[in-house]
Amino acid sequence: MKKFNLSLFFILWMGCLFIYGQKVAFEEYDLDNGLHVILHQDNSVPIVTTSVLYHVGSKDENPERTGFAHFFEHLLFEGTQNIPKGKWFSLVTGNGGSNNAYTTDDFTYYYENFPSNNLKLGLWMESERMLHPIIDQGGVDTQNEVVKEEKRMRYDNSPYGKWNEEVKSYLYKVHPYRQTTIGKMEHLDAATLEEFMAFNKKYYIPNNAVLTVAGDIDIPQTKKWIDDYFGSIPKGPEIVRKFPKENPITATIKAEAFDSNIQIPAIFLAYRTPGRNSRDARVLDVISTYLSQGKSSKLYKKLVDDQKMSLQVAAFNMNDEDYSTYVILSLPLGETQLETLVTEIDEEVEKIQKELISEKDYQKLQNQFESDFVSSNATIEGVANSLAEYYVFYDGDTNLINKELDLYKSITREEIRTVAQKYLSPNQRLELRYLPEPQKEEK
Amino acid sequence: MKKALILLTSVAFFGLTQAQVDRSVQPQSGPAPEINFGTPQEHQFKNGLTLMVVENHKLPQVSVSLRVDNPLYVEGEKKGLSGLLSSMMGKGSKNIPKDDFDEEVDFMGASLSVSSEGAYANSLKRYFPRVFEMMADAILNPHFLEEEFKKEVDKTLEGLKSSEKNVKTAARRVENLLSYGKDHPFGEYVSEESINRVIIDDLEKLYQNNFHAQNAYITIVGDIDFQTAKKLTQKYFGKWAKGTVTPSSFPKPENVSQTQIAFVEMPNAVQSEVSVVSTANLDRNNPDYYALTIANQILGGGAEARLFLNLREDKGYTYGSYSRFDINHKTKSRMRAFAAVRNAVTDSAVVELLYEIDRMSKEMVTEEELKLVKEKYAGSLIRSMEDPENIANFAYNTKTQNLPPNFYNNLLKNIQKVTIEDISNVSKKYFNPASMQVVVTGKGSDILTPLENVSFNGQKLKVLYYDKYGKPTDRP
Repeated sequence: MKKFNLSLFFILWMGCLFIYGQKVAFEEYDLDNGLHVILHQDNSVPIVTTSVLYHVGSKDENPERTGFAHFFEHLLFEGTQNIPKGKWFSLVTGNGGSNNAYTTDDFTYYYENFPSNNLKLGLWMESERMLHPIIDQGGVDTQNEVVKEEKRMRYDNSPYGKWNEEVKSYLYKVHPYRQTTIGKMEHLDAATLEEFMAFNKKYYIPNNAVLTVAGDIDIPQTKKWIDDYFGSIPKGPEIVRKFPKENPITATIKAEAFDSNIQIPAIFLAYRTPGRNSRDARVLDVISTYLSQGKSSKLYKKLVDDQKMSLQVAAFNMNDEDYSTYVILSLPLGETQLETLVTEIDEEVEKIQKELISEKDYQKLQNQFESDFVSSNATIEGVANSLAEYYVFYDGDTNLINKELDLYKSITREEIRTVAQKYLSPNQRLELRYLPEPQKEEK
Repeated sequence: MKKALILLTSVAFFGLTQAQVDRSVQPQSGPAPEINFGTPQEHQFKNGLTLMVVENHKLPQVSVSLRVDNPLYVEGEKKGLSGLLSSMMGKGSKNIPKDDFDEEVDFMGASLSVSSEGAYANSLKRYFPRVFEMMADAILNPHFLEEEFKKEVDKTLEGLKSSEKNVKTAARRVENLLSYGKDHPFGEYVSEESINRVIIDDLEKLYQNNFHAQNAYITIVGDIDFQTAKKLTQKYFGKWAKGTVTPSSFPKPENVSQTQIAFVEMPNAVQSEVSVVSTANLDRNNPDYYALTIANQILGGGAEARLFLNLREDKGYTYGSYSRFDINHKTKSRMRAFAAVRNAVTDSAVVELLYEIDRMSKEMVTEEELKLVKEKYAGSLIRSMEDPENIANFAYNTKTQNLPPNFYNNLLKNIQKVTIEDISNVSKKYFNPASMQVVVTGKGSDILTPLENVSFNGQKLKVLYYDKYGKPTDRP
């Protein structure tokens, strides 16, 4: 059965613009092949974003063939049956556009930004990529080298570039979040063309994708073009995801890692926390802001400003579909030991667990979230991306774009305390000491 | 019956449209949208301060930037002073202690940063007047406390240490030094010694020299009306005094007389940073500006340009290879073509970079390449209209670079006029393959021997050796 899901927030668009300042109007529906379509009209500037979110990321990869989702982010620019090899980029820029893509543990996101007179071109290109990309040995061989250079640049040659890989390898024992998006080069070397083609056939299908069109568009015309170009793409078999669950961490994991690109060590405290579509994940976002956003935040003020023991401190929740990873990191200043940083950080976290944060700090957090929220909808490209992620990762609740601030604002001081108690205790975490590679002969 | 008929026609109609779509044909563009940047509303105050306002009521937020347009200056043996002044500005003011200041900015959910050359703030509309007032206070009444100064010196030193093994940091430092010379504002670099020479009184002196009303431009963008912006500016900056700036002199950067390789040793590198650099007199008032902008785009402007297609898409040497022309009207502009490549192909990457640069002046570019880049440029201008801050930036450039008032409105027209011959002419002039420096930063034991055998136009290139601070050394 095809469900026809049509949310209409379109009425009184101009009125909304005026009254609410930032209400994001959109329309959404499914094509018969299962492709979910989201349209957002904003005619203030003659630009348009066309994007496709494929619900495939590094967690969907065979553990012996990691790096595939990211590798496709390269392969799918190689060409299609109607777009010659090597012409993708020039087709975009030669028509005034820009384009890019990125890969996460959970999804891959492709997009073009065009002057709005090239909307049809953007739709055609994305439909070509979905219907019949050319995947051949030549493209695989070239992109294999390119990806290796990307890995060297981003991770191997980059100070602190390997912390995420290290953290994930300790926090996730069975769940594929232990894999990295860039993947293992030996896996990519060993992969056959058939394996790449099978991966494409399985995941890059309309019923595993969301098409978002945002900007200076005419809705009926856009719908017709979408029908024309995407309507005939065949549906694929339903994807079944069944990932193993991790056992809770009950004893502190202590680990060390070494990096030849650094001289100053770092401490990473990492906790496994609930997936992004949960109230607790939002509460953890609030706790991050409380701890490290702005110069008056608790950890920054104490470690960097008052006690001058840290060069940098940050707390953040990396929100993913199945689990999130909560990280507190700090670099020592001068003679400070990593142990001292841990003690000082723990003291602040314990305060959140034992006492309610002050009324004034609570009001500050509300203002900070409001300010972030307003800025987050400042570009068409950003709105398109948010709409697609809300639909895919929040049970189809695309309208979260208009409700999320209220959700954050509804979090109470008591909840902050409860969530800190529930997830942020020392026995639930990894303590990674990230150290300079021991000195060899130095020139 | 009637119903069935309607159904029938609609099916027929549907069938027809399906048949009409031929996906083997690339869709044609619709009529190009008009580019209209508009101009900010402007006011110059009695003290010489210029205010520019771009009203945009889409989101309930306002941003403000203050820029002081001063001549470039050399910091010399106290290099790092301006960086320290930047980190000391905005630590409260003589009226508000630092902790209270930080707390209040954060409480409003605002961002506010002050540097040695200006300030930027962004806030929700309802808090803007206060944020603006605090920004003015931080700029006009900075408070340099000894204790804070010490802390910033320590942090700077630790920051230097933390990037000591960073291959990119070393590469950029030596590339700048070799492009501009060690006594030039863009060539000099911060060191432990130079930071330790700075004393707190230097901050006050530099502040006094940098901040004067007549050189300052305030741009306010967002959900605010012009009159309110003007009143706020008058209230908080109206009494700001004029003053004089002591100019600084430095040698003009010179190119090398013969293309050569500068090798910088970084034993921990797993990739080599390869950059080809040269400098030229070129600003936006120069008639060559338009053709050179296009030429640079064809050479290395993006993923459709020659460097990317050759070094990445064809050879797989690198994640990306590009070229940039950093336009500067206060000193010479610099061309830099670059790639980060794996150690084993470093010499080949040098050869390909030089080949592509050389080809720009030896062969005519194609009609197709020219057309593509012109479209790209038009598109990027249209897309830049989305950010209202660009309107303010364009107006600021027009004023401070002495551009004709309609420079940005005519930009696209002037770009469209560029011909293949123009590109050939500017390439010969600015991409001179005989006087380029190739700066290679990487692991000598892996790459040096092949690098010493690189030939260009039939001649083996001379290789000079440097340490990571750009000091000449023996062969490592």
